[in-house]
Amino acid sequence: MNMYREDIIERSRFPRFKREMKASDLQGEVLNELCGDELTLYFSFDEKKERVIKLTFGGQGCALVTAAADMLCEYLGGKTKKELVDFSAADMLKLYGNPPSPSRLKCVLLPYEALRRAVAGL
Amino acid sequence: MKKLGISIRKDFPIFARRSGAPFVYLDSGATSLKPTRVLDAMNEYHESYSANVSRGVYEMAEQATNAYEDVRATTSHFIGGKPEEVVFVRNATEAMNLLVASFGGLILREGDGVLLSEMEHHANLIPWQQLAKQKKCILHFLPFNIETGELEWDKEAFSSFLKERKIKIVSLIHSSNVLGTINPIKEIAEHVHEAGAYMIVDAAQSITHMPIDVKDLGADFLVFSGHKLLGPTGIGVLWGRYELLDRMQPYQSGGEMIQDVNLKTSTFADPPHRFEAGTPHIAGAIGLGEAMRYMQEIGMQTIRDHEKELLAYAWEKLSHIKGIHLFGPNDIEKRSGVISFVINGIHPHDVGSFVAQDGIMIRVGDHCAKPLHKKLGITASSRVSVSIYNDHDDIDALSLSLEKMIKAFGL
Repeated sequence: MNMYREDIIERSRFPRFKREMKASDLQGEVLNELCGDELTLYFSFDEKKERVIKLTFGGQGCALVTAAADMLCEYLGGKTKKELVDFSAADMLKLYGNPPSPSRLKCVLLPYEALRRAVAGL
Repeated sequence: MKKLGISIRKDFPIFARRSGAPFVYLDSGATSLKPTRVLDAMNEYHESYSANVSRGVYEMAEQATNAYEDVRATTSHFIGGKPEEVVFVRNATEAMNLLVASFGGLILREGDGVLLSEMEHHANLIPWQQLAKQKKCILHFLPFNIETGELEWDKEAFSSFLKERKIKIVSLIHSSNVLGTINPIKEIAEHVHEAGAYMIVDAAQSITHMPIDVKDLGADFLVFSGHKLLGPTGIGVLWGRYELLDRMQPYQSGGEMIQDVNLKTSTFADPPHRFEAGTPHIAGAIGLGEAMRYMQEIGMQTIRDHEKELLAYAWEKLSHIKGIHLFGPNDIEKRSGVISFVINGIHPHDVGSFVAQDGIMIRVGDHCAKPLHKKLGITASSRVSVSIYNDHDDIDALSLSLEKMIKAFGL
């Protein structure tokens, strides 16, 4: 299995959701102990504070982390708080679609870990 | 025909076992592959005379004891010094912890200094941090030059620098596991001794790449692991000058390290046994002894020459990769064992995973040297390391895979 599928590389090089959000409603930050990289998810909710209207990420990471974070930000846009809470690690892997080697699983799941940190603050 | 490289792979069973797929092992700096001779020696112990050492009165126990004790002599042939100056430990990390606790504990007083460098492996850093906290000592660091990868030290003022800062112990990595730099230990040690301080050498990386003589280096102590030296894991060596070992307290206590025991007090055995509590890794020591004999038969200078040629070839090949930055000295006389690098726009972990898909094994990460990476302004790097079984074909495969990666990433 090629871990570096064309669309993964493409997303990692040109992520659509990679930008810091100055005034976010919620943040989730994690450190990847494997390499020392950091990832932060920024959430902005609608007026009722029910739905995500904008989700972006910041920090530095490898191609896998960047592509996975970008996919997650795209997927969770418009979702409710409950849907954020219910999103599982299995959902993250399904969304990513390209199984990494066991030693790199942590990279693909890093955005999910950031999400867990964020929803813990809800 | 060349003695090393492709032609010596027949001595290492793993090449035949993994012959079905590309097998390009460029991670010997993490751990080396093992020759059949080493594995046979360990099996022979387990199959033919697997008694405990230093206690039995029957023939098989004597055979085991002799085989184990003989490795001290083999080690002293390998690195100089005397057999009774060789202490068996688990690895270089344990040797360092033993030294910090027993020798650091003996020598250092509140306000004294210990000199390390910015390129140390965590094994020669964190134990000192712990002791410094406990004893209220001060850690000092020799900086390295980011461009050249060499230590920066003022030769003229070094002895007075050591005295002024009350530095009692200098502990340095012989050859950097990231930069590859061979540090001028011999020259530094002369100043260290002039200042009345002690010299500890972390030879975990260098031991497998070049001839080493503890007396010539001017070391008071030298540590290394067996598994980077074609030997098994779980066995390492602490070599120390006997008169210093003799002044040190045990690091661990229990069986095999005593002279006499009463209910409330005990006396301890002489070195090296004072520092080897409990049943040691007998098979490991025997395997390590065989590894050292194997390497000596090849000749450490022959090994150094082979690796120098190979590293020069690798440096040249890798320097043509687009966006690459190679760390450490370009002068091959000042480098051993490894070449670390980063490639603009591609994370080291992606480099490692990408080439792994082509059967190429390199190390990525901080290589247990976080302060070094912080100084370089990066969190991780990729590292190629070589040994006697590596050849141009390995470097060519890596170079080809990196080119492929650059193309795939559109750089």
